[in-house]
Amino acid sequence: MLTITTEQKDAYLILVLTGRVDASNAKTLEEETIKLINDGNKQIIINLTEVNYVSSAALRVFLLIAKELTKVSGTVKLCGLSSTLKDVFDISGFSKLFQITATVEEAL
Amino acid sequence: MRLPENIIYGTADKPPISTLIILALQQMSFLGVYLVISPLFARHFGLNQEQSLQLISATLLASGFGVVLQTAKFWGIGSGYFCPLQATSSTFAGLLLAKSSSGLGAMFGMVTVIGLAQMFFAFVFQRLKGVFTVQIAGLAVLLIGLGLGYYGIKLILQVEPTVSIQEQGLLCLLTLGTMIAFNVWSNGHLRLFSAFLGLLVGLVSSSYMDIIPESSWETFHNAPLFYLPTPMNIGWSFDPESLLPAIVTGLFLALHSFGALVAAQKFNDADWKRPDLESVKQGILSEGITNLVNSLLNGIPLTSSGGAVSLAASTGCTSRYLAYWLAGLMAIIAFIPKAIVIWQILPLSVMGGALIFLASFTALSGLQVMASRLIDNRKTLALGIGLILGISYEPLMASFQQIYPNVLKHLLFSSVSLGTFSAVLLSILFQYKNHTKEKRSFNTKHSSLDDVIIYLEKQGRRWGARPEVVHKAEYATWQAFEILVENGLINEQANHDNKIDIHTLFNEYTFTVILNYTGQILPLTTHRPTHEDFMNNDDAVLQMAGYLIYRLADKVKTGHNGAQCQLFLIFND
Repeated sequence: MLTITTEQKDAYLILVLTGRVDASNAKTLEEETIKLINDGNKQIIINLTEVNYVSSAALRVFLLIAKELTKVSGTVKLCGLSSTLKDVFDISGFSKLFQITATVEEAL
Repeated sequence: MRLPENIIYGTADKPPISTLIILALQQMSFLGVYLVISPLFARHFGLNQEQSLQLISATLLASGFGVVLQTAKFWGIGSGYFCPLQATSSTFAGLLLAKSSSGLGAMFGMVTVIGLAQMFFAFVFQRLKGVFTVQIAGLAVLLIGLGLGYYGIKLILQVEPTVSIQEQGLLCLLTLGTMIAFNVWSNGHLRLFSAFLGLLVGLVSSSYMDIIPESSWETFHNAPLFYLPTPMNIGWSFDPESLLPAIVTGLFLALHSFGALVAAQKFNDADWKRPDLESVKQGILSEGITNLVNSLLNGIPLTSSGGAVSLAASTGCTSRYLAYWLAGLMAIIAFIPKAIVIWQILPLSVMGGALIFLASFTALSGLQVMASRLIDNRKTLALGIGLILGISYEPLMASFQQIYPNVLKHLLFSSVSLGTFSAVLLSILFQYKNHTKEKRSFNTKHSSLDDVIIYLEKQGRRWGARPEVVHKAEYATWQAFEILVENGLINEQANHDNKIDIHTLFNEYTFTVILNYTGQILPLTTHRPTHEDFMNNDDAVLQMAGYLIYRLADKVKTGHNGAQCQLFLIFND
């Protein structure tokens, strides 16, 4: 179960995810984020503080978001990763693809 | 093997001699309470003074021999751990049977059979890995702790003619309080000697309060200074009628030792996960041999002292050199009856306080071990009933002795053996229709992580796996499931429910999850895709997924089973 909410802070769009991000909802996340990018949001922070699980499907979506933003000279940052999520990102090598911070404030 | 942080001197360490002497005295002070069992035995069986001295000296000599044999670990005999032996009154009933039918010599013939039986059961236990599980080991250790504590309370409350209950309580508080204070708020030598200091405070206080009766001092004065024990001085013969009681007694001594030896293992290894049954076998073997020697010396049966093991761990020294010094001290005392008597002067309430101190460490250690594994309803019942029977040992013994005086006396050997035996029997019984290898099919479109969690936790409980291993397996299994489905590795068939079958295997060291499906083998890679691969290569995500699985499990294998593909995820327990 995944809920997606957004908030605007300065030039950044903060995407707050809650729950699990896996194959069952990764497509939804992908479509909603692509729509937000197409609406002109180029500086995105994805807040994962309330996310307790990500699968490889979720990683694929994060990669897709990064590629889409690169095309429009945008950026994506991730914040609030738990130690479990951090391990997954480290193992997969995704921690080198993204700028990861502890809090939203550090990412701003 | 990593030493726990509370251990100052481990098994292989050699403390300074002055430290060893005091620690040996400390151990002897504790084991001294069991020295009273030999004279009790002598009185109970009507031995004359010469025979009594023989019995007492022989038992002590055998104890010294036993503690060295246990720790030295020669030729596969002995666990290598500090695990002294103590006399036990629980064998009185069996020995009385032998004496009644064939005389005093037959008692020691029975002790020989007990020793041989212990050696036999040592090999049997080692082969029953599926029965002597971590949880059973934890139960045995917990029961040892509870038994020690219960015995301590009994000693404190035991009526003594020269001591009021308030004085007994005060003595206990002083003894226990001293031990706690030095154990909690000091370190180094003071913590090493905390038990000894507590006993010393108890002895000095009891002397100051004029509690030690005159008769104790008289006994001391009257005891001879020197006595040389002679093998088989009382006699030795074999009574076939005592064969079965001896074998049953040997079984329960072995079960009791199982608990003490597992406690010794756990106290010496911060990373302890499961009982080392090879070491347990070697430990029980050494005890069997000790009792063989004991029978020839004409001593009473000995068993591992869970209390002495706890004392060593709680004070921080489990060195084998302590065993050598303790053996030396026991050997010296064995030849000096006056020295035996002096240890018996310690008031019961002082010993009671010491037992409560030691029992705390052992009982909690056993609880930790039991709680370290997932438990299903079968294990809950086996362990729960075993625990309840174990702690109900005394009322059960009192009731059954009246109804079945000769038979059940042997079964009710001790709380540890009763509880452990019950749990082992129930564990064996509950293997019937225990579907540990149950396979489950997961629909590729409609299954979720929760379904996998429910299934694997149920399997984990059936197997008794560690919870952290099962949680790791849940995550990795679901990752594998998604990777197979999302990357088109499953042959999707229209109008069919496409499934992945999952089943689990567990042995002593690994928890394996096996995914069976029709499709293509998951490509595993040992190298992570690079940044450039991710940005430019569409296959990079699949490579990353394969690498993720490779890293999440401790070992990954792929293969075929007929027309089906298999993915093995192996996790170290």
